[in-house]
Amino acid sequence: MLPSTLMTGSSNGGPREPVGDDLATLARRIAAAPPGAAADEEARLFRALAPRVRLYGLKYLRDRARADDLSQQVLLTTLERLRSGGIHEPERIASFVLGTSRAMVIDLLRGERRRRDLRERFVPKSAAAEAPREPLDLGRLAECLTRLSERARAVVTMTFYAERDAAEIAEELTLSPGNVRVTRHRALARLRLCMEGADEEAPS
Amino acid sequence: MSPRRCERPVPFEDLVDYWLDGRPPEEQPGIEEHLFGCEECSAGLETVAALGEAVRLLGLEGRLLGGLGPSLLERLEREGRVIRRYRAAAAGHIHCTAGADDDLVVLELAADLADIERVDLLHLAADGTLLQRARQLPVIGGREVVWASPGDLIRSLPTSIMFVRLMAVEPEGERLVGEYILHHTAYRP
Repeated sequence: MLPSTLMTGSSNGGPREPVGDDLATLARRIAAAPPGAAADEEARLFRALAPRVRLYGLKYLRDRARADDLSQQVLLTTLERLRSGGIHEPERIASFVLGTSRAMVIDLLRGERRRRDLRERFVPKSAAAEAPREPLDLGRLAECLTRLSERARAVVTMTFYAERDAAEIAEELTLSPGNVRVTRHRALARLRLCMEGADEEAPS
Repeated sequence: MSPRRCERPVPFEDLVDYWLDGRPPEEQPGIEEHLFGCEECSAGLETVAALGEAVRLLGLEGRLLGGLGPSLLERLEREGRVIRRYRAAAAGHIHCTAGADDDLVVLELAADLADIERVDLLHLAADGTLLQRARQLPVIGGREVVWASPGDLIRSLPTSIMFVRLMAVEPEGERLVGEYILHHTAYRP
């Protein structure tokens, strides 16, 4: 079971844990402590690693709810193994968490394939998309997008909204895939600066 | 507070490529190993993911306009957006309006745009007043520009004539590559 302190300060845009913790130090303290005596270290380790596991889950599962579940499951497993002395190299805690994440994602994808096969056979397709949370200020982002050239904006929106890869975008816009990637890198770097309020230059 | 500094940060473009599966598969494990152990780089990846997600949400809300491509129009239509399309060749006339349900009014403007590095779109009133300039449009297949305006905007316009021009912007100057005359009829509910 997760300690109650771990259930707050979520990885979904909640307040970030103050940084400075060394993962290996935290893991060693948890492993060395008597049961229940390292709740603070466990909370800190959880808060440091949960966002990373969640991102990993988002990349491979492309579903926020399942990425959240993955994060909880991986960290729960990790803490249980640490408490029981089942992790022999606490200094490699990040690798352990990555390995656990990989294994769980593979299991989830296998299960998902089975479920999808069943769903496609027996359940009508649903047009309803998952209701998303609002992760960034969309008004600000819309304004930042207007600072990009039309082509750069199209490349970004084709990537994330139309879900086209660089080769597909290149074919549609008669560009090289390399050109698409460079345009996309620059556009995203520009958007990042703009969202941070650091891009006041003329559009490019 | 800023994340712990990384001694060997993964470049931002590599984070973008990693997120979009643009890195060779054999490089992924190494990047992931680094990301799981590195606060600064995982925060950078979180930024990429958040930007991508926010762009997706803008699309879902129908807030992507201007220069588009077929894949974007296809996606918008798949999500139920009502799109009214007008197609014209260079020097063509377009008799246009907007209906009550139109989310977008799209101009598909054909011209010989092959090998032109930068195409800008000018939108002019009947008296030649410049209303809008859009820079460096995406060119579809070297032969077409797709321009999308919100239905609300088009419904608000009076009956009028306007011009759209496509300009090649080159080191030696600008040249006209296509002009289109819009005969707009006001929306009547």
